[in-house]
Amino acid sequence: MSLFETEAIVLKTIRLGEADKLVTILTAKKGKVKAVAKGARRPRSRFGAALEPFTHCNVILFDKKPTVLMRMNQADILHPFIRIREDLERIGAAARMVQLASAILPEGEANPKIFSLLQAGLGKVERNDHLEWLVRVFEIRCLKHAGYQARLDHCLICHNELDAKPVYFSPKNGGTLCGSCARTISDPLEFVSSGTISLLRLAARMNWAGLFRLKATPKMLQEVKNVMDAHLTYVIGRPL
Amino acid sequence: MEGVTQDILDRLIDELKKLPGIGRKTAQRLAFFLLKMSVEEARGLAQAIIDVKERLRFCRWCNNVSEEEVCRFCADPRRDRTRILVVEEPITLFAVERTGEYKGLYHVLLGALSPLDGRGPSDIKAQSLLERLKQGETKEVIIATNPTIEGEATAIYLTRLIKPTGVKVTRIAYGIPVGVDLEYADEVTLIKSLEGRRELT
Ligand SMILES: [Zn+2]
Ligand SMILES: [Zn+2]
Repeated sequence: MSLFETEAIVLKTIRLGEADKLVTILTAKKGKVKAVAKGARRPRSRFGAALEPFTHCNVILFDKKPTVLMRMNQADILHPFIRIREDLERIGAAARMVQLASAILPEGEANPKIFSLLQAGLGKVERNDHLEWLVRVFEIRCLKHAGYQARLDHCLICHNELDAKPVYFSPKNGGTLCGSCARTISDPLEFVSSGTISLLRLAARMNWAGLFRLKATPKMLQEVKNVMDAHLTYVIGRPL
Repeated sequence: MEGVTQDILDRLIDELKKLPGIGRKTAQRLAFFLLKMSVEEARGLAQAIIDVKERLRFCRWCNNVSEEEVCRFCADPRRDRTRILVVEEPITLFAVERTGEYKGLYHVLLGALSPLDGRGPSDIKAQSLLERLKQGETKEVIIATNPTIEGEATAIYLTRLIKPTGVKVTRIAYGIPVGVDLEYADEVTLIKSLEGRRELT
C-alpha cells in the first residue's frame, strides 16, 4: 500500500463503469501503468481535462497491491499540448507516438529516456510542421531506448563493412545485410540505399535542431518508413 | 437438481456481466435482486429489452433510435429544418432535447473517429450527413461531439467534409461548468473558454 507522486503523460483513456475512466499513463517513476480515475467523466470532476491523451501532468497514484489496478487520486496539468488537438495530422502524429511507447514498454518499468523522448516529441508535434520526419525520428529513438536499436554499421552475417552498394534491412536480424548475404536468406528484407542508411544513423543520435536541417528526399523518407514499419512490426509482433 | 439451479443463475449472471460497467460482483447482486422481483415485474423488464431489440431501429435520415423508419424529430413539421445538430450517440441527443432549447434536426454519427484505436471515417455515419446537406435545406451544422480527443478529431474531420458544400459549420462552446469557482477549472478548460469568449451587449 503506497501513495506516490510522479510526472506522467497520458497514453490512452477508456470509459469505465458509470462515470470513471481507466487511464494508461507513462509515468516518470514507474513507467507505463494503468490507473482508475473515479468520477472522471462527470462535468465537475476534479480531473478536468488532465486525463485527455497526450497531456503531460503531475499525478498522485495510490498503489493498493500488485494485483489490483492503481487508483488515481489527483492529476494536475503541467503541459496540455493543446495545439495538437486542433489539427488532424498533428493528432495522428501524436497518436502514433503514444501508441508506440505504449506497445513497446512493459508495465511497471521506468524508462526515463523514453519519457523525455515522448515529452519532447509531443512538444515538437505541437509546433513543428515536419510531422512525418518527426514521427520517424521518434520511432528510431524509441526503439533505441527500448533496447532494439537497429545495427547499421556492417553486414550482420559476414561482418564486412557496408560500401556504397545497395544494402538490405532485415527486421529479424535487427540491422543491415550486404547484397551477397541477403541472397542467402529467405526472411523478408527491405531494400535501402546508402543515403538512407546515413539518415537512419543520424536520426538515432543527432540533436533535433540538426535533424530538422537535414534535407531528406521523399524517396529516402519512404525508405526510412518502410524500414521502420518492418522493424516495429517485428519487434512488437504486430503492425502498429 | 441443485446443479440445474446453479446453471440457471450462472447464466443470468453471465448475461448481466456483458453489460458495460458490470463486473462479477455487481452482476451477482443484480441477479439476486431480480430473483426477488415479482413475476410480472420480471416479465416487464424482459419484454422491454426484447421490444427495444425487435421494435427499435435507426432513423433512415438521422440514425436516431426510432420505432418508425423516420424518427419523430425528422418527421415533425414544426422542427427547424435549416439546422442540424451532430452528436456521437443517441444518448447525447436526449440530453440536448431535455433542455427544450433546440428546435432543429439532429444527426447521430453512431461513433467517433479514434486515432488511438484506429477508428476511421468509415466507422461513423458521416457520408449520410453529407447526403442530407445535398438536399439543400440546411443552413447550419452544429457539431456537438464530445470535447475529448475523439470528439475533436471528429469535429475537425466533419468541418473539412462539410466546408466545400458552403453550409455554415459551428462547434458548441467549451466552457466552465455553471455554478463552480473559476479557480478550480483546469487550464485547458480555461484557455478554451477564453478563446470562445463573446462580447456582452
Ligand atoms: Zn554480408
Ligand atoms: Zn431522424
